[in-house]
Amino acid sequence: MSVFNQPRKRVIQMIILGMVILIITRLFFLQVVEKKYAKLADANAVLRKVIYPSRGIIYDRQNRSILGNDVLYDLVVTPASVKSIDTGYLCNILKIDKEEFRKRIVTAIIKNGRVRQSVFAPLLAPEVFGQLQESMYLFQPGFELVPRQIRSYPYSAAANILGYIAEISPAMLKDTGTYASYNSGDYLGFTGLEKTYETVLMGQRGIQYLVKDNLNRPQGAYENGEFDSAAVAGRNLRLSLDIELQVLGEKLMKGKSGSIVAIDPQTGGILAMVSGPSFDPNLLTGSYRSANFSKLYTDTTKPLFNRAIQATYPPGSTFKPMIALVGLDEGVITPSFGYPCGGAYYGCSRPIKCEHHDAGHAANLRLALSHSCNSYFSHVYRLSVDAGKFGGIKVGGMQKWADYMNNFGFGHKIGVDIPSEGRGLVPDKKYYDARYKGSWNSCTSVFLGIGQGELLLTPLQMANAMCIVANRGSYYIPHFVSSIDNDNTHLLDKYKQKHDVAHISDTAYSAVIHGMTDVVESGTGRIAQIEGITVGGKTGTAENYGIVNGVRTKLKNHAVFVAFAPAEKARIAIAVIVENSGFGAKYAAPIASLMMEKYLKDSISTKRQPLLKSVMETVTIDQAMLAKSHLDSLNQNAVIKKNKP
Amino acid sequence: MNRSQAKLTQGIDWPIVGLYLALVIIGIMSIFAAEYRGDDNVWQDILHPSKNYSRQLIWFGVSIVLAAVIWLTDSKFFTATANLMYAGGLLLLLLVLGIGKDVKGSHSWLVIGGFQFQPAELTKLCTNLALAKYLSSQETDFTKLRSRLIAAALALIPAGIIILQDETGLALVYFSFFLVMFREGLPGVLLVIAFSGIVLVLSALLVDRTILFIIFTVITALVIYFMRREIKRKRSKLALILGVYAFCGLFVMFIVPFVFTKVLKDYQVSRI
Repeated sequence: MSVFNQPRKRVIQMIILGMVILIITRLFFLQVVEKKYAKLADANAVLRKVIYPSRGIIYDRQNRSILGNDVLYDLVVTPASVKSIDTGYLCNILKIDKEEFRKRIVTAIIKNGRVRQSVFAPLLAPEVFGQLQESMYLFQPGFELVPRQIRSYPYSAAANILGYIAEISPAMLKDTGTYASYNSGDYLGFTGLEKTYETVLMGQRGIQYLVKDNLNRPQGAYENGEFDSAAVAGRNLRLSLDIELQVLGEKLMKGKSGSIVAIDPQTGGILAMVSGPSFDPNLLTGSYRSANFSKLYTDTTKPLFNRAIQATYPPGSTFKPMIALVGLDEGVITPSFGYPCGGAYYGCSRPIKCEHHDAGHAANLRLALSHSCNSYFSHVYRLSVDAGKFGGIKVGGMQKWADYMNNFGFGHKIGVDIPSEGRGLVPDKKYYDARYKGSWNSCTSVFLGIGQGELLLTPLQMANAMCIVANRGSYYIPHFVSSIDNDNTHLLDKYKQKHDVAHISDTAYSAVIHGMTDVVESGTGRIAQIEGITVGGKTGTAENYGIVNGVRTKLKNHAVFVAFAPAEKARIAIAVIVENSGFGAKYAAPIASLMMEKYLKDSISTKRQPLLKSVMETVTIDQAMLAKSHLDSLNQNAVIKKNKP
Repeated sequence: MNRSQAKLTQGIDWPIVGLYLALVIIGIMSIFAAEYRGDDNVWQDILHPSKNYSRQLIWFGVSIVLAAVIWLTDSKFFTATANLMYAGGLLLLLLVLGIGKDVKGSHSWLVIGGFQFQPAELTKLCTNLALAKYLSSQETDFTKLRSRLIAAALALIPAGIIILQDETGLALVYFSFFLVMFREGLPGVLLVIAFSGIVLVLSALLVDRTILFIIFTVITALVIYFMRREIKRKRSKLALILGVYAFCGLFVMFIVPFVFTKVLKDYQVSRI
C-alpha cells in the first residue's frame, strides 16, 4: 500500500509547492518589480509640499517697480482647536451669518479633517484684516492669519500690458503638454506680459518632503531633507515702458475710446501703450478678481479689449506718407512731382473730394503731404499699381503694392511680446479677384490711396510705420521687455534684430520726412508743435462704418495722428487714435504732441497746461454707452480697496 | 498524571500550531496598525469591542477555547458523527437557499440574532470529515468506479448547492478534494486533464486566438510525428489525437467566449 502511494504523495507535494512558488512570484512582482504599490505607500507616508517662489517683478525704463508682490492674509481654521470663542463677533467682522460660519467649518472638516488647517476666509480685504488682527487673540488657537503673496500694481496703470495672473483652469490642467508642470490651484499669467513671460516670472518651485503621521499631519523632514529642492525666485523684467508717460496717456484717454502707441524707433522698445478707456489693474488681483473680471468683461466700454494691438482701423490720411514712399521707390513720381488738384479727384467715375481747391496746393510732394491732398495721393496710388513695369495692376502691380505693405509690417502680426495681437488687413490681388470676381481695376481700389477702403491697421502697426519713416527704412520689432535679469532664454533675441524695409532710397525718405515736418510746421497738424523740437507728423480723419440696427451706417470719423520727433534723429514715434470723435488735428494731434513733449522734455510746459486740461476733460465716448458703463466707479473702488493691508 | 499529559500532547502537530498563531498575530497587528489613533485608550477599547482589532482579538480568544474543546474531545466522536454532521451541513446549505440573506451579491449568509455566518464555510469541515470517513472505511475499495463516484459526489453536492447561492469562489475550494482522492488512487490522467483544462481556458483568454490555433496545430503535428510508429500499429490513436485537437479548437473558438460573455458575471471576468 505505502509503496504504491509514495509517488502520489510526491505529486501532491509538488502541486502544493508549485502553487506556493506561483504566489511568491506574484508577490515578488507586486512588491519589488512593479512601482504602483510602492508609490501608493509613499504617498501615504510622505507629503510632497510645493514651495512657491516669489514671482518676478516688472520694472519700467527708470527702474521703477510697476508690478510687484504684496502680501494678503488668509484666515485659516483648525476645527479641532476651535473652543469657546465668540462666534458672533467673528461673524460680525467677516460679515457672515452663523449658518454660513457653521457651513464653512463643516466644509473644512470634510475637506481636510478636524486636526489640519483649512482656509476659512481667503485673501482678506485690508479693513477686515485690520479688525481681525486686533482681536485675533480672542479666536486663537483655532483660527490663525496666514500670509499669502499677491500681485500688486503700484501705479494702477498699464493693465492690458502687464496682464494678470489667475488660478489654472481644469481645461488647462488636462493639457499635459503646455501646462505639464502645473498643479491644480497654481496661479499663472493669463494675459499681457504675465502670460508671455510666464516661464521667466514664475521662477522655480521648490519641493519639500515631509513625513506624515496616520492623520496626515506633517511630522518633520523626510530623510533629513535629502531630496528637498529650494525654490528659486522668479526673474525680474525690465521694460522700455515709461510708467509716467503711460499714466499721462491713460489720463489723456479718459472719456475717450481709442489708443496711443509710442515707440522708441532706435530700439523698438515701446514707451507707452494706452487703450482707452483703461482700468485699474489692481481690480484683477487678490480676492476681487473674479467679481471684478465679470464686471469689466460686460462693461459697455470694453476695457479688457486692448485696442492698441487688437482693434483695427482704416488709417485715413496718415497713410499718405506710405503711399508716397511706394510711388517714389517705384519711380512713378519724384519729390517734385505735382498734380493739378482743383478740389476733387476726377480720375475715376466717382469724384473724390479734397479739402483744398486752391491752385498749387499739390505742386510737389512736400506741399501735397502738408496739405493732405486727396487727389494727389489717389493719383499716386493709381500710378503705382498701374505701373507698366509690373504689367498692370492685375498682373503684378497690385501684388507688388501689397508686398510693400507687408514689408512695412501691415497685414500680419508684427510680433509684439504680449498676446492677442491683431493682423489688420492689406487687400491684395487675390482679395479683389475674389470680391469682384475678376472685374476690377485701379479705380476699384483707389480709396487705398487715401488710407480708406478695405485697408485696416492696428495702432501698433501705425506707430511702427512711423519708426520706419523716422529711421529711414529700418525698424526693430516693437516690444516691451528690454532685458531679463540673469537671462538664459532666447525670448528677446528676435527683438535685438534690425529689420530693413525693402531697399527704399534715402532720398525718398528725406522727401517724405520733409513733407511731414511741414505738416506740423505749416500744414494740418500745427497744434502738434513742440517748442524747440522739430516734429514730423500726419493727421488723419478716417471714415468708418458700423452696423447699427442691422444696417451698415456711416459713423462719426476716427481722429488719427501719427508722428515722430525729433525729426533729425527720432527718439519717439507715436500713433494716436480717438474713435468716433472727428478731425484728427483736433482730437488726436494734441494727445500725440503732449505725449511727445512729456517724453522728450520730461514735463509739459506751463504754456500748454490749458491744452492738457482741456484734452483730459474732453469726452468723446458715446453718451448712451457711457451712461451704462460702470468703469469709473469700479476704478474708484480699486483705489479705496487698494490691496495694501 | 504524567502519563495522561504525555498522551494529550502526543498528537499535536506543533509546527502547524506555530504557523497558525503567527498568522493570527500578524493579522491582528496589521489591523491594529491601520486603525490605531494616537489618543486612543487601547485597554478600554479591548474591553469594549468598538474597534476592528479588539473584535478580532475576541474572536481569537473564542477560537482558542474551541480548539481546546476539540482537542479534548475523543477523536472517535468525529468518526461516529461525521455523516450526521455532513447531513446537517447540507440541510443548512439548503436552508440558506430559502431564508438566506444577500450580502455583496451572494445569497449565502444566515442571520441568527445579530450574528451572521456562511454555512458554506462550516460544510467545508463536514465534507472533510465525511470524505475522510468514507475513504478510510474498510468497505471502500477505491479502485472501483462506484466508490470513486460516491466520493466525488460527497465533494461535489455541497459545491453544487453553493454555486446556486452565487458564491462560486467558495465552491471552487471543494475541487481540492480531488487531490485527496488522487492520493487514494484516482487515476492520474484525471489530474492531467483537469490541469490541461485550466491551461486551455487561461490561454484562450490571454493569448490571441490565431496564435493559439497555430500553437495547437504545431503541438498536434509534433505529437503525431513522435507517435508515428504507434499510430501505424493502431489507427484509432490518430483519431483520438485529431479529436482532442478539434475539441481544443472548438473550445477556444466558441465555448470560452460564450461562457465569458453569457454565463460569468463582470467581477468574475475581471478577477480572472
